[in-house]
Amino acid sequence: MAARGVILVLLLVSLTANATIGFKLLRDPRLPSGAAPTIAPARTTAAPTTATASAERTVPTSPVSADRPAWAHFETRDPAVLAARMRAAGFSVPVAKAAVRTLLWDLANEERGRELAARPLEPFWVTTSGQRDSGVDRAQSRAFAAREHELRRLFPEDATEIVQLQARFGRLPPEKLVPLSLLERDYNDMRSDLLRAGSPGLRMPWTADQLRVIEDERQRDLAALLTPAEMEQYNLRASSTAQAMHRQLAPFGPSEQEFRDIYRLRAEFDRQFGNTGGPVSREAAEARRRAEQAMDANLRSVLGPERYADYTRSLDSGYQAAYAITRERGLPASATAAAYEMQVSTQQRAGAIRADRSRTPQQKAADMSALMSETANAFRGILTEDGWADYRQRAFWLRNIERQATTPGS
Amino acid sequence: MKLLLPLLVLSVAANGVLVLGPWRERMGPSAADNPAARPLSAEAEILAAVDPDLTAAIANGDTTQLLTALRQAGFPDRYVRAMTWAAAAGDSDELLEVYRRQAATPFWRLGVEQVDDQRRMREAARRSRERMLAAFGGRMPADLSTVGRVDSRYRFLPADKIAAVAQIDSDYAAMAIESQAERGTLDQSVMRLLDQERRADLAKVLTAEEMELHDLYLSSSAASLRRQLAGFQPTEAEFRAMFSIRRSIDEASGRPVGMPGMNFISTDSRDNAKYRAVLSPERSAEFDRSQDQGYRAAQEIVNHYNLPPAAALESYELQKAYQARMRDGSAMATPETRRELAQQARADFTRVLSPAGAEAYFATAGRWIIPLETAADLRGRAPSG
Repeated sequence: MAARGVILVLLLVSLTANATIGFKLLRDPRLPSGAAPTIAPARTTAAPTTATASAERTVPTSPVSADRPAWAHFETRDPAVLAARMRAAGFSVPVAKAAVRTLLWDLANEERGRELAARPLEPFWVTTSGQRDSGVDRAQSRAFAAREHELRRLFPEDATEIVQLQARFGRLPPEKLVPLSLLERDYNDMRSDLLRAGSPGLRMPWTADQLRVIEDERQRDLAALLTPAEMEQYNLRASSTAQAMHRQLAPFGPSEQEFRDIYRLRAEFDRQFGNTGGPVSREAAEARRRAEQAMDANLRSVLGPERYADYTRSLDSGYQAAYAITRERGLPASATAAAYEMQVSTQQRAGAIRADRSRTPQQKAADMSALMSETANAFRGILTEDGWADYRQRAFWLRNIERQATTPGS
Repeated sequence: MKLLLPLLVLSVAANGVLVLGPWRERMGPSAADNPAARPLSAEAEILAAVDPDLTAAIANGDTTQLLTALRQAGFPDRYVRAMTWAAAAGDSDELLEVYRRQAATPFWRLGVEQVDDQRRMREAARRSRERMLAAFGGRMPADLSTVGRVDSRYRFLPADKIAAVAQIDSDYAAMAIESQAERGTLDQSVMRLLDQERRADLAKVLTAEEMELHDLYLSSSAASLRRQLAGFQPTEAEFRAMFSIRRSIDEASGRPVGMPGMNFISTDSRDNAKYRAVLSPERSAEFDRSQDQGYRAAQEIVNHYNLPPAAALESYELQKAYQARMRDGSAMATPETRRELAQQARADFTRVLSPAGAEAYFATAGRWIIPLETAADLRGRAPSG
């Protein structure tokens, strides 16, 4: 009987609790009154900086219904959210990345647009604009770097950038490639700023000193980032000396040892006399000339006379152009040598015309014109019509002859 | 008793449901039932229901179909352009393969392989451009991602014309880039042709006066002239007159006047005579001075060494005086007279620009002293009297 009483009391308590909770629930506005017919918004316009890892794991969505376009499902001002939505929809990484890059552009440009709109329009006759462009470029460069950093963070699975950087720097550890490219960009920016800062066409002596300081700093930063073995690989692939060699020595086709030997000598020369474009005193010019002679003598000794002759021919821009066109157009390899022979012969004949004191400037121009016409026909036969058109654009040695053929006395 | 016990169990269960249900709602929905945190596959299903065409286009990877689906789905134009471009070209497998090959190429073979790699990359880029153009019906839409800046750059034009002009400029800039990418070099004859076409298109939108303003603000000829006139500070009228001359010079030499990014600095002193003709005598003298390397070098030196501003002008006057004396036969008559002139010049410039400044001056714009010193070979020796 006592047990029955307890159960009865408990039942009454439970029923009272049910009634109370049920009443409260019916009055609570935070609870849904029914199932929503559309997807409820979880995050709408959160600032990009508040993006969290959880936002990338799951897909915060926008209200979408059949009568609204699908874009509404994606639209957001949060790059992390857009990246998640694009992924969820099944877009490929490059396409999703392109969409997120566009959003990042929009956000950056809104800000930039506001900045520019707040500034009065600089009249067209204000000539400080040479520097104005530099400032805009630098701001754009920084904004670009920030966007690329954000994209890297949002699409860590995208290997494209790493593959591109490996093509440039070689197979260095992936975690060093991005810092290396940023380091390169920063120092390039510094050099550009320095070279643009002065009066157009005028390079003051201290510019060369400042460039050397920048280069020393760059080397220190590289050494801090890379191991000695990685540094060697970087130097042989991507340093300015190596890049010049890659451009120039394709027709030469160096072996590994030849490349290393040439690199060693040229890198040392560039380190001492690298082209800063600045003024050079007579003493410095003489020292450079002597060092160049010594380097050439060393190269001849290391390569042997035959390969040295191949090497010097490979440095000629006309020969490089003929080689590239021959390869690109699938012409017989002999076309390169034939084009070079024609170049040498034409240059000799042009020299003879220039030196002929018995001819008037008008007569010399006519002679040059005839020579040019003959040369063009010969090159058409060697490189094809299109190849000749291409060669004319690339072979600088032709410019003087063309000018002298059209402008008497030039 | 038999009836009370089941009733109690049912009531307690109801308590549990009533308490736990709302509690779960408040504590945060699970991935299973919260639309804000659905698993990815669920989102794809929802999208498929909302826009099956877009889902199909995403799945099959066809550029044209994707373009159409993105437009139908209401994606803004700049997104459509960027996403279609990425699908058609961006980081295609072909290009990635070239990069991978380059990465695997030993350093001593890079130059040799570069020629072929560049050809492959040009061809891959050409094919992707073709796919892109085909998708867009033969005409690339303008890149309006820079809309904020575009509005600012074109603020000198009426607002209702900005979009059309930006589209034209963007179209031709894209064509110039394409031409350069395809040929591997910048062909001036192609640029000229593009520029002529661009100007013809602009003339349909702009009045003659607006066209002139467009040239004055944005043309490569105007940009080059501004750079050349740094330090001269022309008035509006002077700049307009000098621009007219500069444009004629560029047109006569076959340079594209308006193509962006193609700035040429005029180095022909005969051009300067034409500019002088539209300036007053005083301004003409100022223009000459602003173009003189010696004066500009002196200005740089004055700034670098914190010298009095007047030193630049004094240096310029000294230079003119010495160059006049060099033209005078008597000063150049013998090694002794040349040596004396060189010594005097060095002393004067050292006084005006400081020893370091004079050294910098003679190493740059002051090379006119070389004929004096080469003949007398004075440098490094004690003056003989």
